[in-house]
Amino acid sequence: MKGQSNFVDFIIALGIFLIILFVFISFNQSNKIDYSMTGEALMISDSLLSPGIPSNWTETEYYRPGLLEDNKLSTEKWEMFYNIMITNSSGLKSKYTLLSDFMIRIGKYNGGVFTEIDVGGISHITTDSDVNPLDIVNMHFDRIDRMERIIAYNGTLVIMEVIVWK
Amino acid sequence: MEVKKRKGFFFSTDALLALGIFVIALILLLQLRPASAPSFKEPIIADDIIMALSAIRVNETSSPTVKNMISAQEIRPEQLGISIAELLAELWSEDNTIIAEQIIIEVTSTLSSKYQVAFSVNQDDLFGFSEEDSLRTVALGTRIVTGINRSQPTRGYSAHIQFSLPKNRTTSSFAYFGGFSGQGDLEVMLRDLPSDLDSSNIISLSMEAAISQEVTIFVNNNVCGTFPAEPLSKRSQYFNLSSCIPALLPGYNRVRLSFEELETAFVGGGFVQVKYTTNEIAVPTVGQGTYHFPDIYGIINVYDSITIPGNLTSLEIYLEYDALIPPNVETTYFLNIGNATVYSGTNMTSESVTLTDADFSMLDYSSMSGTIPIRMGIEGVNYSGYVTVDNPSDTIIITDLSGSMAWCGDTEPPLTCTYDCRYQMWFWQFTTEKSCQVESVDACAGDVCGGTPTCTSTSNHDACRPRVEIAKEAALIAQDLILTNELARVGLIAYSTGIVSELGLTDNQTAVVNEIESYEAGGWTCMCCGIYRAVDMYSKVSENHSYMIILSDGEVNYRCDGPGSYTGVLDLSPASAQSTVEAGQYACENNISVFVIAAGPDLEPEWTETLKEVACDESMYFETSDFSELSSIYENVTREILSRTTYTSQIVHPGEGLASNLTNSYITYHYESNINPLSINEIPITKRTSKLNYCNASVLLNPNLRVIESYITSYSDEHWTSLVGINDQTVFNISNYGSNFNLIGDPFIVGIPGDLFSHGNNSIAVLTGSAPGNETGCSPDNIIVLSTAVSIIPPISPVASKAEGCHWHVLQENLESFETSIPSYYSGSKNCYYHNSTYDIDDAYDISAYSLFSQLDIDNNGMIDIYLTEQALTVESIVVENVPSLWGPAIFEVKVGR
Repeated sequence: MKGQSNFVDFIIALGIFLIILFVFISFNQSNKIDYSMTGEALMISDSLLSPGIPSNWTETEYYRPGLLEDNKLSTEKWEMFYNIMITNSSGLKSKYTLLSDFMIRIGKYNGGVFTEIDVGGISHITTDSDVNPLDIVNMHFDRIDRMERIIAYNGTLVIMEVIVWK
Repeated sequence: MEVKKRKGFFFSTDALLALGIFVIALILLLQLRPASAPSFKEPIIADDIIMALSAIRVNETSSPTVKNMISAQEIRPEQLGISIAELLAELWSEDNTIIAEQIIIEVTSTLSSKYQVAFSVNQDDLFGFSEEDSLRTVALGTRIVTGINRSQPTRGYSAHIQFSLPKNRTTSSFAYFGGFSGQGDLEVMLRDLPSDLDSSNIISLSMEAAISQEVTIFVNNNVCGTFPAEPLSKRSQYFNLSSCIPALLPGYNRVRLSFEELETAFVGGGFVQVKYTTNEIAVPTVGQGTYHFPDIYGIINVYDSITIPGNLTSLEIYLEYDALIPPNVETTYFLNIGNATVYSGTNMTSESVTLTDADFSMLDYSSMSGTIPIRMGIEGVNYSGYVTVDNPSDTIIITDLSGSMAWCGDTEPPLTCTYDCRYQMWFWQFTTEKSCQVESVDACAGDVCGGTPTCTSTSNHDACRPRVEIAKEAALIAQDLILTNELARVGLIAYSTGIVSELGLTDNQTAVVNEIESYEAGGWTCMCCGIYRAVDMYSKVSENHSYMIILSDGEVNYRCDGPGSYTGVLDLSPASAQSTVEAGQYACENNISVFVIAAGPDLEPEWTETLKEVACDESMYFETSDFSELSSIYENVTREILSRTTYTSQIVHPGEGLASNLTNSYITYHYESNINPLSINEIPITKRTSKLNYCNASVLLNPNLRVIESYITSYSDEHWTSLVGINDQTVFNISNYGSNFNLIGDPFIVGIPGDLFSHGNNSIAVLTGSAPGNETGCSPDNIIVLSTAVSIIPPISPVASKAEGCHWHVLQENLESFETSIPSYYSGSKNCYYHNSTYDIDDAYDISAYSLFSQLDIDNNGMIDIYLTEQALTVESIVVENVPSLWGPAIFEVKVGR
């Protein structure tokens, strides 16, 4: 009887421990900020919200492309950026010293929903063509972060969303 | 068994309870944690919005409100290129916040369902949060915006006003006389009058000068008039020579002064001035000056100066004269610069000589800066022409006749022999004292005086001269010397127990001598009685220089009850001494120079201390234990008084048959200037004080003025300008050049370096004199002229809503009103007044003009300090339209909340 009594207590204590462990892990997981991903999102967005280096970069001659011309989104640069991404996305990532993949899309909020807009017929650009922007939220990645930036385009304010993931 | 089972169940229940409590606590903890940690992303969003709004131009925006405004031309064409952020700020500055709010809603509509955005300028909300309290995070982005201010125009007109020399400007040319220019007919030259000069543009022709006799003035041999001289010394007179204006010509013009009496044919300082308008601009010569001697037809007798505003580098002198010299006279013509004779010509009947630097080894150029006296004259064998001049003076000789003055003074003849004489009458013996004058001590023996009674025997012989006799002799010497001054008077007072003898101020020497001869000693000593009586004697009859010579042989023992008390009271306490000192100081306070002579072998220290304090100062106290020295002391004191009441003037006697003429002579000097000239944005302001009236004047210098150079005039008449100082610094001291003033020049104008002036009040003193220590006051007509510079920043008005202009009325310091239209083509009916700030504050021209006049109003009294008509300046204006305002900076803020 003495041994049975100790077993029940042990089971109860183990249960309590597991509950505490589960709660603790859940709590920490839900508050975890992946600073490395945020930093990459910020870095790529900062670079894109500039004229680029050099400011008159082209599809063949560029160091770190930016999308602005006269502080506004340049359709021409957007298209060039798209073309570079199609042909040499890995090279472009290395220009930004990125380890992650990323997607850029231009849009606006409409009733709380992000709606892409076409810029020169292109609504989004991504390093991974298999990734669908509409599904990206439901896809599983080890790490992911997103950042929104406001940019002048076509006489109004639009949102440039940058999503980075691994 | 049951007990043990129950015990195990009990522990499990505890564990479950603990678990429950723990879970509850954990749930509560999770409920209390922050809903969302502060994010760094919102500030980035806020900055992005500001950058984007600054990038979108008005003509690019899709905002329907802006498009409508463009269509309605509510947005000016020049605004099409500004950013939405600038447009919002301008709308705020125009109080158009409703439109601004609508534009914000439209341009941020693409964000509104995700972000709440608020805008403000200078914390003044343009568009606020709708539900600020519910926002979890709020981030702020800011940008500085210039050119806007609440309720102020952002674009408009700006006026720029500046001075420039007009085509027609008013100016003056001068010809100066020195401190003494004489003697005879004089001629000075008005030089370099402009080529466009004619009667129509000459405003005035005048002379201001100190003269001593009637003068007839000619211009280019045309008579301007004959003018009487005012009899006051060292006063300038104004002579209106406008009748000679038609005689003036471009270039050189001779102004001649013709006198009747050669001895008083001189000018004691002054100038001839012609004022005119001209289109020519005179270019000032820097680093070179020329002094022109006046032409003299009579006897060359010039006392003048040159002012070198820097370091002298070279000198050239040209002299041209001719002379008529009588056979028995040997004369030397000399030119002194400073204290050095640079030219000496003996018995020359005609001479024209040029002297250059090689001839000036006697001069130390390094010490020749500032005002240097110049003297040209004549001296020689059998000719000492300097005139000695008397000033009126009154001297009262106050003599002690107390009993002690009967005591023996000395044993120099004539002596008084005294002895006891015993004689017999019937059966009785008597003794009496006999006295008579003897030639020597040895002669004082036996019954030397003789007469009755006949002495049977004599004893106690004493041969000496009583003090009173020595005092009488000294007083006689003094009065004799004093009365050599024809304008002097002498008064006499003798005191002992009270006033025992007095004679009012008189120039009757016989009466003076008789009164002195009558002095006899006896009684106590009431010196204060004598002093107070003398003071009253002056106050009743004298306005002249007043002197008092007091003799005492010792202790005072009577006191007085103050001024007017002549009888005194016997008082052997120190109160008598104190009373006597008070009497002496009372006389000093009444501008009477009190000399005190203490004599006698028995002077006690406390007595002499008292007598020292009776004199006006220690230099006026004399003491001797030997009465025999009394006469020489009296003589010294009297000569001191004479030196104060007579002087050698600058005038010379013409001399029988002696004549000389000086013509075309000049001194040219080169120097390295130490004057800081006008710089860009500085304009000259010449300030001339009113007549100073006193020898000490205060000149106020406002902080925004810089003195370039200045000078003070000194109408010294026949005296010398002896001292000029500013703020306790000596600028000119004639004593630096010697003690014989007749050999030294006399400046009419003394330069005062600009750097000696300080902002605020400046104390300036000027004195004249005739010998070292012999000051003769100053002219009340002296003035100070300041050449100053004021830094003017040509005003550019802030942006105003209009630029029409105004007709301005501006008061000047001389209370004359200067009127001008700004801009010059303004022909409207609007009048503006500077003195009471009446103008349109929304007019760019008016704002700029008011700013300009404010800068010219040095002392902020509503009157400008520059005489615009005299300074010959005109106002030019330029207006620029459509100028952005320079308001700000203002802070444009965007807040982003989620």
